[in-house]
Amino acid sequence: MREITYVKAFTESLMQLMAEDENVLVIGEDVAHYGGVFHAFDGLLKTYGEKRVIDTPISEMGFIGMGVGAAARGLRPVCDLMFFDFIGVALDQLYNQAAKLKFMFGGDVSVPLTLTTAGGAGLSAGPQHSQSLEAWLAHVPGLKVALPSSPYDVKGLMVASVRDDNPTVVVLNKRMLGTKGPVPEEIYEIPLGQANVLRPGRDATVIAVGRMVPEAVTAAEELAKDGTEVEVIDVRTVQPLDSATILASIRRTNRALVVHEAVTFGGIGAEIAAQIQEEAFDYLDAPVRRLGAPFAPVPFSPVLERAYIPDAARIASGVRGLLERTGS
Amino acid sequence: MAVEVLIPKLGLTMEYGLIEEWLVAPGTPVKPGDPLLRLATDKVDVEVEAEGSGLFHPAVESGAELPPGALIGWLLEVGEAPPGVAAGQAPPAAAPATTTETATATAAAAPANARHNGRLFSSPNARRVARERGIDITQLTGTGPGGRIITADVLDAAQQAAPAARPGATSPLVRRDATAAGVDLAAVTGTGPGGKVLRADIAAAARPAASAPASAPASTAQVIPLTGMRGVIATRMHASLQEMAQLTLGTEATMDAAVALRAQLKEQWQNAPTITDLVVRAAALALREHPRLNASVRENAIHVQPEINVGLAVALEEGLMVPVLKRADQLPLSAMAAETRRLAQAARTGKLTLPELEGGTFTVSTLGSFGIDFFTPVITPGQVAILGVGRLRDSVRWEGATPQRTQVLTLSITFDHRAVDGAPAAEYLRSVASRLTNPLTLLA
Repeated sequence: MREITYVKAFTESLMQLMAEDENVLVIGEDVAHYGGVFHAFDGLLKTYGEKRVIDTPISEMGFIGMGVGAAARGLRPVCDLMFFDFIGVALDQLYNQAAKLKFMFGGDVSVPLTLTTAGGAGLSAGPQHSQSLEAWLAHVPGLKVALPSSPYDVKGLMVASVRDDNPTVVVLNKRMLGTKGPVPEEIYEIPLGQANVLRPGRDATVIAVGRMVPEAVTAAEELAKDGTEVEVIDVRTVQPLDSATILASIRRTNRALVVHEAVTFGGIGAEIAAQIQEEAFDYLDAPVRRLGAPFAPVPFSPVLERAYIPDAARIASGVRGLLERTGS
Repeated sequence: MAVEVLIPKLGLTMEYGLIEEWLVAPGTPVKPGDPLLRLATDKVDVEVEAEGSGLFHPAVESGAELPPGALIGWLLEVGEAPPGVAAGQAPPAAAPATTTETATATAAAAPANARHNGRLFSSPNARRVARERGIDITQLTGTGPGGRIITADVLDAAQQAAPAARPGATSPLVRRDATAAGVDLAAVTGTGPGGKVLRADIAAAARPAASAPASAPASTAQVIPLTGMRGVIATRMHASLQEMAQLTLGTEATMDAAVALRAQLKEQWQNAPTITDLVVRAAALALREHPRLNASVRENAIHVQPEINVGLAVALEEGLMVPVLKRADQLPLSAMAAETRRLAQAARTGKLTLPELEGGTFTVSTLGSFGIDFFTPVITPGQVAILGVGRLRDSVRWEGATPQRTQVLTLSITFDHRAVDGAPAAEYLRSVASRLTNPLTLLA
């Protein structure tokens, strides 16, 4: 299969979705003439014109609100929030309006809005342009939250999100935009709420989110050299969360490590760890281990930032800790 | 405060109950209504439910046979110890006796356990695996972080224990089988996990001895013990044929009007009667005219019963039960239909109570739904007749030289010739058939 980059898989998904459904339109800062700050929207204006690819002023509250209204009236808008960190100024539109309208109107209104944004650290973009805030949104009933971990997943999760009749947030990872991988040319969907088992294993399960997925696979390959077989699960969406796949795996491996880029405290890993102990307590051979960022803003300094984000080496060492037999 | 679990008295004649199986593991939290154990009496198998809530703690093992009122366990609060060892049998000993080398070795190693303020640290999965394999976790040495016992420690212990058949590692059911079959447990090689002796192993060990005198068949037979419901059926059916002079008559009943009536009632009643209900109603009404078939033979006399209580044989996956419709001749058709449905449902879910199984004076058995036209049912002990109901099927009736389509079913009556002769039995059967042919009498 041909290989394309993460960001090109994103552009291609929009190209095909807009061809498939004329109600799909793109709204955001610099998405039309500039093609987006990460060139994720390159070529859309030329193909679909100014009515369907709309540049907006710098007002996230304004243009996401416009998206909510357009969605409630039957369009299928894709609103782009340049950085995940900016969600604060527009949060009401998302969690109080988009997520609630269906419930407020007794199911008579749906909001097929997709919010795309770029999150994650690793580019020395500083504490206000590097955060991973998915746990905030996963806490709100009515929102779905996807974190693609490969070019293949970007396209499949984008297609599922735009076709979904409910508000969905797709968080791209900035560090992965240039990552290449196999992507089918035709349009395809990855169901929201279905985790991906990337590697089977019997000794421990690593549950990873977003960019931590390829790191977990690297760690598993490293551990396999010593004969430790680690199962790697990509949650793909943190809301809905595919608990069944995670629990079935823990019941086989008896050990779990959850890893994400977000701050450990109150992160989605806390939810996953809690579910594991509630549903599979009798199958645990070690406490569930969480790996995430320390409780501090993302550092500007590249050296500190590297120390801040988990990586393959720390995942491998975490798994070794789970399997430890030190004796008394 | 500990709640006592006692053997319930399930009927006036109940003298003992056999704990067939505990349905919850020791330490499991239960609430009122949760099934605790399966209890067998000479008449019935029942599930006994918890009457209080707490952590279940058994005082005796399954297989114990005790009179009603006997203490068999407690429901404890968290952290509460069972109040003394007052019951007949002590709970299973904590450690196997030091009769094998393995046991001695583990006992010696025991002090190395990671105990923290008296708590033994072990992983939940290690505890689960130990429980499943019958391994005493307090005897293990932990190799996990801080000396915690992990699954690998349990599996290591299971492997070490494999060659020796440890009595502590067998289930009570297996020990009961061994006693019943006269098999020495220590001499049996276990095929279960960690060399655990399974029921199949006992059956295999028992087989050569049993078949030794004859030429032993090469293939292995499945052994199903005649206990519980199976045992009750075996005893009663054999006694019936041994005591009574049984023979069977058969006749056909024309069902066109009954089928039409049922179709009509189906539209108007919530509990429309089934064909079987119509037959039971007809059988009960006909018994009023022929009371000699509603009788019992004992002490060299025929006792005609004052009430007409009709038992309904209900087939179950493992045997059958015969719940009783009390005063069936006095139940209007609609009430009877509701009651038969309730009893059949209770029989299938094991919810029948002893009073619902007692007092039958006559029985109806149907095999129509299994495609049977005619059969010879066996009389329930203590009664003198049983009605067999066959399949509703298409047949031909001749009107002059013209064939007409008609629906019929075959009725058979097995009766005890000691109490009833052929002619009255035939008259009874004809009376049942004619009521089905003219079913409006069933509505009266």
